[in-house]
Amino acid sequence: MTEKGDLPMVQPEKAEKKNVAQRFFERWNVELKKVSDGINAADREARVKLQTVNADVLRRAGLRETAYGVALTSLQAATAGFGASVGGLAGFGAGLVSGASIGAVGGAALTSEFGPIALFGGMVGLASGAFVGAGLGALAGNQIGVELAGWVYHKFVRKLDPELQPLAKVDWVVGQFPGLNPPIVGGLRNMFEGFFGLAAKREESQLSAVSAQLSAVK
Amino acid sequence: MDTLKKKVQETKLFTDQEKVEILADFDAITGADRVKLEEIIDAYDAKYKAATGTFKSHINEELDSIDQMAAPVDSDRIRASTAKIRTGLNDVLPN
Repeated sequence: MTEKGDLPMVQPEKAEKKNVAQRFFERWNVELKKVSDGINAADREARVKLQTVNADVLRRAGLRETAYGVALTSLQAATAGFGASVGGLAGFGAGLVSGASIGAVGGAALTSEFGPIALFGGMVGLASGAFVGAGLGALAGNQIGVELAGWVYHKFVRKLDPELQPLAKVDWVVGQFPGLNPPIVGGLRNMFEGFFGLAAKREESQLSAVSAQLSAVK
Repeated sequence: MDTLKKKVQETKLFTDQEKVEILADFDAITGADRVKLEEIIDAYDAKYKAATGTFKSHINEELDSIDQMAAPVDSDRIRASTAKIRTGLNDVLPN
């Protein structure tokens, strides 16, 4: 029985061996972290670059766009198409009314010899009204599509992907610039976050398997 | 084409599932896209190799140091242990 104040005896040899092993595994963990960070950064960079490869096979493999990107694109295209149709019909109707009105007013106001010109003017008014109406309707439909897609993403889709939550709205807004899309912006952001060590941990890498294997050997 | 297929099969960039999807419809990829894909895989593999090479190099330095510091009485046992670690490392991260 040891008296109060006594320390358990530690053999210096054993302590030294323990220190050596501890130092080794500390170094192992430090190097493992470095290599994991390096590989994760390379992975993020490569996956951003993959967005520039148009092959459908990459899209099917889930490499070209993330699920939310596909959902956004589809929703945007669908609502824009619907808006364009509605806008076109509305424009056509407006053109018909305005053209007929011009023709009628022209025909009534002018003498009969100007009747054909008024009728021609009415037809031009009808056609241009329909054309401009369709164009404006398509633009408005596209804008509504963008807004609606963003709202759906912000309200529902974003919640499905916790890693994207904090800055997902920024991704979406910046992704509306021509030539960009939200997955590309998100990928770039992740890449920069990775440079500063802020990125969320990725799935287990192969190097974790190395650790496990070597622990087993040890 | 076979070179790129082999690179797709061997790269650590893609998961097994992604590799299957890519290789299943590989012929549909255009020439220009193949060039881009190959560049991306090459760049990633080079970085992967550099990162793991540095890792192995630093770990081997540490193991060398442990071998050298081993007391004569423990030397054989310690060398056998470090050799096992080196073998495991080379198996999982070949050059």
